[in-house]
Amino acid sequence: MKKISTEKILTVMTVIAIFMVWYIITATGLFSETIIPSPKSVWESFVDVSRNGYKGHSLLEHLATSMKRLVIAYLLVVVTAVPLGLLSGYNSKVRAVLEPIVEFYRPLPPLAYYTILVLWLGIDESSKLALLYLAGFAPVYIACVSGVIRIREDYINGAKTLGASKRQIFFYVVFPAALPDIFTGLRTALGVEYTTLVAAEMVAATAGMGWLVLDASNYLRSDTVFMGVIIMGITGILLDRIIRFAEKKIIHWKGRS
Amino acid sequence: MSDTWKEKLYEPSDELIAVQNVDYRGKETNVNADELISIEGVDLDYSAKSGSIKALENINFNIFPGEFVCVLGPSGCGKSTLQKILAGFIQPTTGMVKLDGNEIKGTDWHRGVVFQNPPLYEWFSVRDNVAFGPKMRGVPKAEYRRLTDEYLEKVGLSEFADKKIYELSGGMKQRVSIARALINDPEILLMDEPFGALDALTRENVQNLTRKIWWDTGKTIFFITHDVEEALLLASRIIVLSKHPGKVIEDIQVDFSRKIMEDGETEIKFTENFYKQREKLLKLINVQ
Amino acid sequence: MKIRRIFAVTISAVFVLGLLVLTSCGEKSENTDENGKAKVVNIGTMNLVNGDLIAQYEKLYEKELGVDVNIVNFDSGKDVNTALASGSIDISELGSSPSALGISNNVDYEVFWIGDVIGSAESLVVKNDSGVETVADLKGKKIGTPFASTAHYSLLNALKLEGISESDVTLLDLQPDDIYAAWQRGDIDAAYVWYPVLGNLLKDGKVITHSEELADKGVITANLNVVRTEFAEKNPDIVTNYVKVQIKANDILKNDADKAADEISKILEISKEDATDQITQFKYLTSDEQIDYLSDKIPTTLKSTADFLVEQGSIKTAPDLDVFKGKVTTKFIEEAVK
Repeated sequence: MKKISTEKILTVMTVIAIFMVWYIITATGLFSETIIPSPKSVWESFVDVSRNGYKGHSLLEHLATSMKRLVIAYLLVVVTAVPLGLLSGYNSKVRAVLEPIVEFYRPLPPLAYYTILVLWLGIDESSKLALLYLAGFAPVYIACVSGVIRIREDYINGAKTLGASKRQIFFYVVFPAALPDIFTGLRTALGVEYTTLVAAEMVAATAGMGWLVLDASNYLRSDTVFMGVIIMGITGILLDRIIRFAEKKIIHWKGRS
Repeated sequence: MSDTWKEKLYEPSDELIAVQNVDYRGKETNVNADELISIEGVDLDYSAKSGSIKALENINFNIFPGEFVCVLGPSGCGKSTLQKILAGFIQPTTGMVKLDGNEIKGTDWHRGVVFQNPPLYEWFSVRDNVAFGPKMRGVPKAEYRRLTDEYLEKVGLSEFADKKIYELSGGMKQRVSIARALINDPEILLMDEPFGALDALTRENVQNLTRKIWWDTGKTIFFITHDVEEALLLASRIIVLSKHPGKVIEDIQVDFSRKIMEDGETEIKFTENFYKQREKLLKLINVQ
Repeated sequence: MKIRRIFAVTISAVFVLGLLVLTSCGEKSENTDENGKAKVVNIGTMNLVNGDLIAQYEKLYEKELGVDVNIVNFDSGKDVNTALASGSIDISELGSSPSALGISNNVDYEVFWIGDVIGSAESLVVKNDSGVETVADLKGKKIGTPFASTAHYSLLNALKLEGISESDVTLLDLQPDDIYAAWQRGDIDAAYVWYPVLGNLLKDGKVITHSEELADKGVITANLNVVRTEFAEKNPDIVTNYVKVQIKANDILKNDADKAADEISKILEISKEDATDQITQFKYLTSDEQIDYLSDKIPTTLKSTADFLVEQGSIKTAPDLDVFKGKVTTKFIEEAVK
């Protein structure tokens, strides 16, 4: 049998401790259910929503709607931000064009430009996807640029002395060498997109986990809000795990040289 | 290739012989049409905050086919810079470097490079790292596979062909690096303090390998080191650079390497002659 | 051994955390004197066109309440509810729908004044070229409204009165600004919304029904003033003074419309014409009418709003009418007019 590490125990203990604090606080009755719903009512809300759905959609449909938005935007980020980022790192002229744009909008809170996106793209899926896409683009782009810039000069010089062309260097050396950074960017992007999800579902959504939480909060349904937040938290961790798994498989050399 | 180049280079002698084809004012006194590389009046200035700093000053010498040239010098004498100019990574401020009579203007595969810290591609296996050059150059698959096996054999890594780079020791990595550079059959192999980071035992091992490859293939090698003993044990010719700015202050031919190969002399380090020459070179370097 | 130590550390961490939470609750004392009387009153406002704006403009709160005043702005009744629930504000105005919600969710406050009864200030508008003439024509159309608002409640009732079910139309949860954007792009055909966005929509739209019409059919929406029960118990005189301020302000609204329009236009930074216009679209009640509404119509409205929300699946259960009656009080008005 594998020995359970102290860190694992600590993690489990922390989770248990949080539940205990939560339970104790609600059991005192000092706070109304609106401020802190009890674990019991959150669980009941979960059972209820899984059984009967929430406002016309089942819990799975809400989750699937959000995941669909997230995944589409994410894939768009992967196929655009990675090549553009790598190219910007490799070619300073491309960087000179793209970097100021990314630098400008990156620190803006998504809500600040969401209204503009809604004006341009309407209230349907496209504006939501655009918001998520923009949120995810910047971290991946920046990670790719720095990934390329940080590549040891000898890697590229070495390839040149072995007869590789610029194109070959890009695909056989620059891209794999930047992979660890690309993955760091991809993980950050997933986190940022996830945090933007609620904002994206603020305007004219009728389904989605973010919308569920917002709508429940409109009606002071704290139990449902808590439930939604916990589900989002858990799915967030799962998504991150998937990427970390892929990272481990693809970048087998990371941390070992 | 015949073995005449060996005879041509080594006149039996127990004394250090200054090569007479270059004088230190930079004038060629003995033009030899057969030189592989000619370094002509090379200066290199670095721009720094306090103005430009001279790293190399008026370097002039030729390298002949089959030579094993070791460049010795204290750290900061610009010997790595000289190697980079030969590789084509940087251009000299003045003067020029020619390969087979053509000026070197950029990096290409005719000059193989072995770096101090081998930049092996961790995402490839040992085999793919060695095969990298021919594969990039469009050598047919069957051909580069055969070559890869051959060169892996040469550096004694056949069994490790499918290992990941991070599974190799420092010495093995440097051997992969040598195989990777040699497989392209470059006209000259440039090695920049390749064994500096290795422990003594591994070091001796790869030194022997390098010497054997040189002897067996007749490849021209340009080897940078700050280790006098290493230079004496490997080189057929030693060039000493001075500190700030780097200038050639000594250019001698030695034959310990040849003796080791020809006569199998393993104890040559402990001969009086070796000791004397080592002292002489050490003095030259330390005096500065 | 190791596990026991970790466990001990965890347990102590739990208690420290718990203590922190508990002590942080007792911190509110700063703003009260030794008898528990408030030294500062935190008043929430949504800048609705009623006596509250006049009071703000004339600084009546500061002058008449007898304590320091801190005014906090809110954009939605939902945020007012949250602020009241957390004790961040003591008195505030909010719509009847969020009030019904708050009371149903045990947010401990009581209704003591009606800022206004909503008339045509909240209207259902359609695009001129949409071909929609009546509510019944809305089938298959896209309608935007801010969910959980009085407008949302009115819209759903308007549809219900025409026998249109929610699944016959597409309802979109949009904040007023987004409604304007969606409207301009043609993403929605209709909207139930209030000023100032309503004014913008009317440039190329027309009203097919509004809250006054619905009120005539028994669907009353109003903006109510509520006070946290705990605060009211400890500081009844502040609440009474607040009512006196509202009465004074209502006098101006009713008897000196010009002055009222002037003040409202300045505080909301709109034109005087718009202000005059908007004043006419609300109904402001006299003290007698207030008592009348508060003892009957308002509890009933709150109850039916809550029932409606249950039907909608927005809240789990609605309390009985008696509960709402208990949460609506006329005593501060009676005290104020004595």
